[in-house]
Amino acid sequence: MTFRSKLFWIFTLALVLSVGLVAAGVTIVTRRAFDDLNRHHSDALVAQFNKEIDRRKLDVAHRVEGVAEEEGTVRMATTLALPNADISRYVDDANGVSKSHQLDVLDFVSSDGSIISSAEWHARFGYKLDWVTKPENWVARGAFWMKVDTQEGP
Amino acid sequence: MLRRLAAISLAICVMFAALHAGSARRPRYGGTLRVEMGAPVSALDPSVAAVNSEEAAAKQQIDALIYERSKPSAMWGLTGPFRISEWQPGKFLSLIANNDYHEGRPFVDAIEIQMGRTAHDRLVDIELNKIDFAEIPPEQARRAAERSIRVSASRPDELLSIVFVAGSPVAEDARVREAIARSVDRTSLVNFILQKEGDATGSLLPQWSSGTAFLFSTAADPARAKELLQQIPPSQKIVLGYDSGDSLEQNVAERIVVNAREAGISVAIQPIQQTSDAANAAGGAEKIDARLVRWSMPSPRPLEALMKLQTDLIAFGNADPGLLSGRATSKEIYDREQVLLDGYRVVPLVWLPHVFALSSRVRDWQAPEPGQTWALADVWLEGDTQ
Repeated sequence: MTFRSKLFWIFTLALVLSVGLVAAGVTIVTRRAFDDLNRHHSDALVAQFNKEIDRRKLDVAHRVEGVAEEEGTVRMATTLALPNADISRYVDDANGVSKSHQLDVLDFVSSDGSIISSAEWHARFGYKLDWVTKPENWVARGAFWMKVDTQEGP
Repeated sequence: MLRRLAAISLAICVMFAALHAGSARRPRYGGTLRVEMGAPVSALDPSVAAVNSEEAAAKQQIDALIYERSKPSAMWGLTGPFRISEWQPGKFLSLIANNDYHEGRPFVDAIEIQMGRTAHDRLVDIELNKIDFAEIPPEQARRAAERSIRVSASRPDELLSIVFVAGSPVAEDARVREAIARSVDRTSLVNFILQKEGDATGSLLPQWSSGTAFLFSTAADPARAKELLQQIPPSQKIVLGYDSGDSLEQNVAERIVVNAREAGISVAIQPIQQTSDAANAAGGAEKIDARLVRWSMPSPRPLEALMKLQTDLIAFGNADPGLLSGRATSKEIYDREQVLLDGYRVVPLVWLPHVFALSSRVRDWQAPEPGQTWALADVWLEGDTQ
């Protein structure tokens, strides 16, 4: 191999190595920058989602409070507290109340956990919602997530 | 002394009788009775068949007002208690009293019938005193009465039942049919969906007619239903059809789904477009395994009613056990009911009454017996004089 050939190969190798090193460095730095950006974006989205969920939870809790304080609901509660009360007359009430308060899911439940009226599944009256009668302070717990059965499935 | 006492007693009796006769209300002639119907009747000609059973029932009521129906329908003449004065097919019918009616002129001068009105509209119109008479769904009777609407109900004479379609592979196993029959909570249907109007039943004839309905159990038995299901391999969903235009049937079907699900049975519901076509009535056109069927008693007599029901069930694919003789005893009628109910091809649910809303000025109205039509020629209107 002549000196000229050696020089050519050494320069070529040096050039390829330097270009490769620079490209790898730029790629790593750029990827890290994008990862950081994505992480920040995701964190911001999660924070916004959680904030929105908290806001919706408060909104639903306020609407449910509104339903509970409505004259019709109070009258229903006082009537059903009487001996031999007839719950059948209230079987359609959840439907109208849920519409007026813009709630997709609403159940009126008696003290033993049996459904008096259900907006999301009208035909389910009389069956029990076991979680309602569990010894827990539901008011203090506030809004929470749970799976709800509907006519179309859970 | 005794003679005097007897004379005084007699005088007092005569005085009270005279007072009572004076205060009793006498029927008055005159006035226009305003009626609303749910179904639109498109033709008054008896030879033109109705599109569906709802229209057929409405047409029957109108036929009774305008035709003399003592002969076969092809020979009916327009010599009934009322005559047609205005007719807008499917919308409006105005009738005037027939002065020459052989059973005597009706009390009211005219009847105006508005057709195609929803149950909600009928109730609002009667509440606003826009009309005098309308039939309302039985499940609305209690709420109507609470709104101070005058309500009149017939004896429960319409049977709502599940009928399994013959030839459906899913429902061919009698244990599946029995499991569904045992899972249904009929008492809840009456108390909640029907708002306590009607009777839960396990029999094909009402208690007031046969006197033996109490012998058929109406209690739900989900535990037995679960036992039966364990004996058979898991099957596909059972499709239960209901009349798409009947909100009561829809509510009942949805409740049956809930009851069946609690017993571990998978039931789906499907609305059916109701037609008078016999094949569709038997579930042939639709892929359904069972359907909800309303059946009106044609007669208060148990034998006559049961034989008509038996004929209708044969049209659904039930086996024909043959006709009972005209002199069949109560025991024989009861035994035949048992035969028809064996195998659970038909599952009676509730007996429904026909419920009518009346304005305060309607007098002498009597709810019709099975097989009878509305006796509008016999009612008179308070406050309207000749």
